[in-house]
Amino acid sequence: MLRYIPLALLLAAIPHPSLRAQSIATNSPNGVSLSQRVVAYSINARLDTAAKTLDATETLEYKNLTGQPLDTFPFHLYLNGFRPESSFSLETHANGGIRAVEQSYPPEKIGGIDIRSISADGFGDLSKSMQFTAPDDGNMLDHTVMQVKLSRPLAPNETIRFHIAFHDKFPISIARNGWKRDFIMGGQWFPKVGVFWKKSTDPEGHWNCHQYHSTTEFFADFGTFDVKLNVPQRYIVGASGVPTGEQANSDGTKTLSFHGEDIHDFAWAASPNFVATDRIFQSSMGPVKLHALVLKAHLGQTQRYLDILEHTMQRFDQWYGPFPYKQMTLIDPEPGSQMFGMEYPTLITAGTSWGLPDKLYANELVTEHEFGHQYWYGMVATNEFEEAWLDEGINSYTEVKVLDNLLGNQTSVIGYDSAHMSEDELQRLSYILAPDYDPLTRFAWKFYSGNTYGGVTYGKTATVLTTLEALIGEDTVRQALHTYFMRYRFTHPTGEDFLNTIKEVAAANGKSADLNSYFKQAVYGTQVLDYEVKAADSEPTDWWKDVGKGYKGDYRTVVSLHRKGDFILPVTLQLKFDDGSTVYETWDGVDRWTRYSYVKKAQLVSAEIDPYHQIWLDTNFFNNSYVVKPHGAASIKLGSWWAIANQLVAHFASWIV
Amino acid sequence: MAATSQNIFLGGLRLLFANKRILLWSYLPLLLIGLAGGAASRGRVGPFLDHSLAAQKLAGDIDIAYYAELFVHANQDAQSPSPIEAPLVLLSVLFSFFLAAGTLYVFLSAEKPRLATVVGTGIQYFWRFFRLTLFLAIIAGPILGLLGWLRTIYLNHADEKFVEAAYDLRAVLTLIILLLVAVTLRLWFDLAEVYVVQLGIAGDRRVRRSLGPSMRLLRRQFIRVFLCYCAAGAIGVLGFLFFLWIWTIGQTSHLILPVFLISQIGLLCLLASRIWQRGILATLVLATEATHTVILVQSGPPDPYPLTPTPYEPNPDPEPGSEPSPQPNPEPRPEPGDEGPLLPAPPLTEPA
Repeated sequence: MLRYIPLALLLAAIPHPSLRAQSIATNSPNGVSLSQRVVAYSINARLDTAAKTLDATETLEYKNLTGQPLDTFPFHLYLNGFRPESSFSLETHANGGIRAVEQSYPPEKIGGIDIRSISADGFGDLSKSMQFTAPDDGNMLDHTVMQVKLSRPLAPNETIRFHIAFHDKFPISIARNGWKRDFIMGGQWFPKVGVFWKKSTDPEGHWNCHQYHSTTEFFADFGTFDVKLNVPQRYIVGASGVPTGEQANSDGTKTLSFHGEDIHDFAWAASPNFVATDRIFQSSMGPVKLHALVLKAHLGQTQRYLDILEHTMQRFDQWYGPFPYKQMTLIDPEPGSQMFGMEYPTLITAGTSWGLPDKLYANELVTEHEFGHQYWYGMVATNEFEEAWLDEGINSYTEVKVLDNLLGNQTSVIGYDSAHMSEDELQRLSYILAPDYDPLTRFAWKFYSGNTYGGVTYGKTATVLTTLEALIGEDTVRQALHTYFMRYRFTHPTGEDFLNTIKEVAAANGKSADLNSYFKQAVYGTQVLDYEVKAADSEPTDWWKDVGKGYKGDYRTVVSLHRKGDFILPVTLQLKFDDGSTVYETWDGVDRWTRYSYVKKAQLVSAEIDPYHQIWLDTNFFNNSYVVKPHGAASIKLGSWWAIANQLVAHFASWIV
Repeated sequence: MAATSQNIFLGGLRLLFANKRILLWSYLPLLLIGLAGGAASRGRVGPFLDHSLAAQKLAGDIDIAYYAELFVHANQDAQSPSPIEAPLVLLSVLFSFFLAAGTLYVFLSAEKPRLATVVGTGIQYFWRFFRLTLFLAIIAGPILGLLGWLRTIYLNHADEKFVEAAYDLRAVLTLIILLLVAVTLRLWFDLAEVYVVQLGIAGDRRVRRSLGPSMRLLRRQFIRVFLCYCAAGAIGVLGFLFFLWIWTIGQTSHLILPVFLISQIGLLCLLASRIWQRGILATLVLATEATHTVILVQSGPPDPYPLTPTPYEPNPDPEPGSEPSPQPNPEPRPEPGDEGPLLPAPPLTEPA
């Protein structure tokens, strides 16, 4: 019997699977934390759905992992952006935002967050040290950043516990936030501490806490969230993390509890008109509950939402890396509001409308895009203020890949037989509208306008990465994104980290393209890529003779190429002759133009740059080719359309008589 | 003003078929506009497309991104000729003044629909129709403006309670109401136009005297007239939509000319229905007049003069202070500067 004792002791030393530490909100093996948890928020809030206000107390534990003492702490107060004097409103009014242009400011549009008190254990009342700052533009009326100064520095590895009481006033829906009818979106609703950020260009690190701007999104540290939300009992609430409890109160309200881990923000949405529908998705890390809260007016779209969400998660899990969280909540936002299409950790708002045709993939597009942000923002938590292309841009690229894969590479936006549009085309189109104003790397609020921000940050990045496939191959780009995700998830990487990863993976795969030159122009520059076939023709070598019809002698073919833009990229030229032969040339594009000539017993039919249509960055596809014998089908067709349009205008105008 | 039992719906259709050339005269300016606009458009985009392989994406099924890209470049780079479409559309509207008067004159006078007759009469009535259009603008502007404003207020209120289908239903219903009011106003003034021509035939150039009788006639026979008027319009729109649908399907083919011709059939449906509507109203006025004339002849003393040229409805209640119009008026006296009707009025009101 004794011989079994060591074995028994050994078995006893191994914890039973059911006894292993489990994470509440993630499928992390053994429950280990996935991120370096810098912050731990506990918020107890009461929502007044009639007044559209919220009163809360917040406890924030901040662990000083910066390696240096800290004596000031900046906080984001994003809701203060919804005031006419804020930088957000001034910029939106002047240059447009990504959602709306503010032309007026009625009272219901005013929102705000009021800090009623702030203190810290061991540091006393900090209210008197509280002051607004405006690190980006000096607008002291902005009030979206506040900082407090401690009476003594917080030592490295020391933890401080803040106690904050605050009052929110939600505006009528504006820029992802506020209320519409009885729907309320709690995004950026609590005082959130900035990020003490160390990076290769700033190894010592500094606080990074930007003001809220018309085009900017967010940046925060990973941690845990425990949120209790008191709402009327008829309300249904979706939130980040997982639900951990619900308690009915005697005053007609209920208190809902949520817990989130390894996330850097917490959002919720409340409406009495939600209908919940759940589905389980099996990720490579474990089961994920897909929790869709769809408005009654859109119930017919529920399965469409869940289908695209599940299929998108499959592709991301397969291509880029595992999804670690236990729940993914999808919110169907109130129609006519500006809450559609927004990402928060483990919670997204999508957007649809009743009667949306099956082949018009607006629902799929927004759902896929916002889920993609779970990777490019949620887990790879780049600085959205300073390098928005790393979240919106990479996400737009993966949106192209996923939707093309799921819905067809010609039909992934509009899928009718007679009329169609693909994601690649949509992204490129948004880019070519404003190709040369801003580089990808510009701080988000410093773009020329909201339009150039959108076109460059979303469209150009996606198009740059799609064109990169022509240089190093689609598989290598996908592998680079996988490596980038696995290496930098739950951290704050920079653009350099991303580009270095691509170069590293490309080199490992034996791809020798000059990526430095490509990235210098495409990422850091504003050069425009536009090649054209300037002229192409064949004529008899004895051109001065009257050769007549049926000439069987030699022809001299001359083709001239022109680089119209400043972007230099080697291109392939394809020449087709009427004897069926095809000739390929490669031009490095360094000079402004080049000319090719041939003597053949055949006439040129067509000349085309980039014959396999891989260089999506080219801003004009129409001048990439030249057909010697003109064909008027397209212009006649368009002319007939214009003719009909004019006729109808004239006819209906005649109704005044 | 007694109701007539004549089928004005079919009567209007008979007038349309009896005067098919008017449809042709109405279509020709539109064809001209179409061809000119189409040629101008082709001139603008041809340099981009005619030698481009990418343009072949536009010739068959519709790759929307290529159309959008073309739009971007055409706006940025095109060396386009100055647009001629807008002046042509304005010219077409001007021409519609002639056509409307000429059409009604042909309907009321039973003249042959020669182009010279239609245009000549149209020129003669131009200012009267122009003034009537101003009246329409003065009356319809405030009414439709007020209704539009009320609709906006209502929809803003509804937006607080209703969403999606429930809201859209209200938006559509209120829009239909607005359109019905607009159609009613158009109907009234279409009827007034008939009376203006009828008055003109009688030598009376006063446009304002057409409004009262047309309003009274419309009020008394509203449902009948309104339904016929709307039905003719709806048939035209349905025909147009049908051919538009075929045209849309045809866009995936390379058969440009046949597909364009299909669109023209749809356009002809719209034009025909508009002329049909005018025919309905002309039939109504003629029938109403004929009915009244019978009553007048039976109940009144023998009339020493033939009643033919005297329309009853346009002049039922002379305005105070205005020169009383003789009843009947066998030979209307042209006003100074007014050459009066060039052709005799139709023998539609002869005593039974």
